[in-house]
Amino acid sequence: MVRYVARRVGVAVIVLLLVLVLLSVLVHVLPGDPVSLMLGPRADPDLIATARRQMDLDASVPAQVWHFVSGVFQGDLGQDFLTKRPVSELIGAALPHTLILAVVSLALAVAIAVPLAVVSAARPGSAVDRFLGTVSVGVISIPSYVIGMLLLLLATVWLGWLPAIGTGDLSDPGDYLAHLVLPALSLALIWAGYLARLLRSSMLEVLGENHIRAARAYGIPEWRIYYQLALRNAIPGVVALIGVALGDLMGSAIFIEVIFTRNGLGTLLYNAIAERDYPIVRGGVVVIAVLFVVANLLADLANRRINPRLREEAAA
Amino acid sequence: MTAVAAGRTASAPRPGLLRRVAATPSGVFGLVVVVVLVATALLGPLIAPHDPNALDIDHRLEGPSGTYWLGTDNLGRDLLSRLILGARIALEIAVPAVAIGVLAGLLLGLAAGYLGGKVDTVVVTVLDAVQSFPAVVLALAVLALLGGSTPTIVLVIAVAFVPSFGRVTRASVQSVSRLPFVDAERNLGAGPLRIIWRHVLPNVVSPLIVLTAMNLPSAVAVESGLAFLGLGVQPPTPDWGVVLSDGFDRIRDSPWPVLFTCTVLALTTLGFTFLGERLRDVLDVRTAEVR
Repeated sequence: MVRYVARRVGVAVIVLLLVLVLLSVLVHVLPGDPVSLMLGPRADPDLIATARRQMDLDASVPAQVWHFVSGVFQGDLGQDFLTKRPVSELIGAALPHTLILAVVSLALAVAIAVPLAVVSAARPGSAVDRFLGTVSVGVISIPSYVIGMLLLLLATVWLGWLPAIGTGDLSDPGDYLAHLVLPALSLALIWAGYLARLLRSSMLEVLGENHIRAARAYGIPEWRIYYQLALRNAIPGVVALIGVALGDLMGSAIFIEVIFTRNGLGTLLYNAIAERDYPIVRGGVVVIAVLFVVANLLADLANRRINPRLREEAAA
Repeated sequence: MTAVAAGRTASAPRPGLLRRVAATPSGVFGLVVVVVLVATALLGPLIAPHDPNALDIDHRLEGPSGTYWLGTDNLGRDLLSRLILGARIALEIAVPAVAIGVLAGLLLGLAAGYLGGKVDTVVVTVLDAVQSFPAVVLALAVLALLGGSTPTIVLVIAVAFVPSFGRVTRASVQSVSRLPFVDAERNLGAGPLRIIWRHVLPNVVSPLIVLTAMNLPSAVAVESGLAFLGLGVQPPTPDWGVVLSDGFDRIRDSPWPVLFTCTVLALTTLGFTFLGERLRDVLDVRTAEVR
C-alpha cells in the first residue's frame, strides 16, 4: 500500500510538472504572440516592452519555465497586466463559487442517479429500465451548455423566475441557494446519467450472488437489499469516477457560469479571454489542472482503500 | 424499413450491418440524424432558402414565419439558412479532429502496447498528462494564445481525443499479442508488421469505430462551445456556436434563435451517440470506457 501510494503520488507530481512546463513554453512553441494579441498590432513600442517584461517574456526560455513553475509552487501565478493585481488574488476570489457549484452539482447527480439505478436494476430489461437507459444516454450526450440554455429559457423567459441568473449573496444562504439551483442542475444531469448507468451495472453484477439470495431468504426487505447490500458493491466504481467528474465539471462550469451570469473561475476566464489577458487564462488553467489531478489522485487512493480486491491484485 | 433496405444495398460497408443497426428505434433515429446531417452539410448552399449573411433590418428577431421558417436573428438574418450552413462548418472541424485523434491514438497505442517496457511507460504517462486536462480547458489555453484559425481549432480538439483512442488501442494490442496463436506465428518468424497487420488491427477496428461515433458529438460540442466563448470560429461565419452566442446576447428579446440552435445541437449529439451505442451492440464491443 505504501509503495502504491508513493508511486501514485509520484505520477501525479510528474503529470503536474509536465502540465506546468507545457503552459510556460506554450507561448514559444506556438506561433502566436500574447502581447500583440492583447495590445493589438499597432500598440506603442514602450508599452509592448513593458508588457513583455511584466509577463517575463524577455528572459531565456529555461529561466521562464523556472520562474513560472517555482512561482506556482509558492502560490504566485503572475500578475494581471491590466489591473496590476496578482492573478492568484483574482482566482482566489472566484474559485469558491465554482467549487461550490461543482460539489453541489455532483451531490445532486448522485441524488438523482441512485434511485434511477435502483429502479433500473430491480427490473433489468423491462420497459422502465430501457426507457431510463435511453434517457441516461441522452442526457450524457447533450452538451451541458445546451441543457443550461434550455433551462435558462424555461426559467426566465417562460416562467419569469429571476433567481435563475446572477450569483446571489453568500451571506444570505437561501438567496445563494436559489441562484444555485439551475446552474447546478444543468451540470448535474450529465453525471446523473453516467452514474445511473454505472450504478445499475455494478448492482446487477452483485444481485445474483449468494449473500443476496440468503438475505432474501431471511426476509430482509427489498429496499434494504437494494439500497444497502447491492449499492455497497457499486461504491468503489463511483468513487473512482468522482475524481474525473469533478475535473470535468470545472471545465463545463465555464459555460454554465457565463450562461447564468454567475461569478466564478469560468466567468473570470471568459472575461480574460475577451480581453486576451493571457496571465489570467494561464493561471485559471493551472488551477483547474491542479484540482483535476488532485481530485483524481484522491479518488484513486480512496478507491484503493475501500476496495480490497485492488489491494490483493497489487500484492500479487 | 424500405428506405433503410435501399440504403443498405447502396452504401453498406458490410452486408447486413446497416440493417442490424436499424433494428431498434434508437438505431434508426441515429442513422436518420447522421444521414440528414451529412446531406445537409454536403448540400448546404443549395438547400438554404436565403443567404445566411443577408441582412433584413426590417425583420429583426422575428419568430417563425412563412418567409423565415425558423425566424430571424438580431440582424435580420435567416436562422434556418444559418443553421443549415452551420452543419458543414461543424463537420468540417469535428471530422478531421476526430480523424487525427484516431490516427495519433492508434500509432501511440500500437507503439505502447506492442513495444511495452519504457516506451509503454512514457506513452501512458503522456496520455495521462493530456487526460488530466479537461478538453475544453486545454483548448482554451492554446486558443487564447493563438486566436482561432480552423487548423488550430481542429488540432486542439484532436489532442483531447488522442488519450481515449490510445488507451483502447493499447488494451487491444496487449490482449491480442498474448494469444497463443499469435505467439505461435511469432515463433514461426513473423515480423511485428505482419502481426500488427494480420492480428492486431482487425481487433482494434471495431472498438475504434464505436469510439469514433461516440467522440464525434463531443467534437461538435467542443467546437460550438469554443465558438460560443469567442475562441473558435469567428463571426459572422454561421457556426452553431456563433449563432448560439448571437442569440444568447438577445435572449430576452427573442427566445427562438437559442431554442432552435439548442435543438439542432441536441439532435446532432443524440443522433451520433445513439448510433454509436447501437454500433457497439451490433459489433459486440466490450470496451465501455467512460471517457
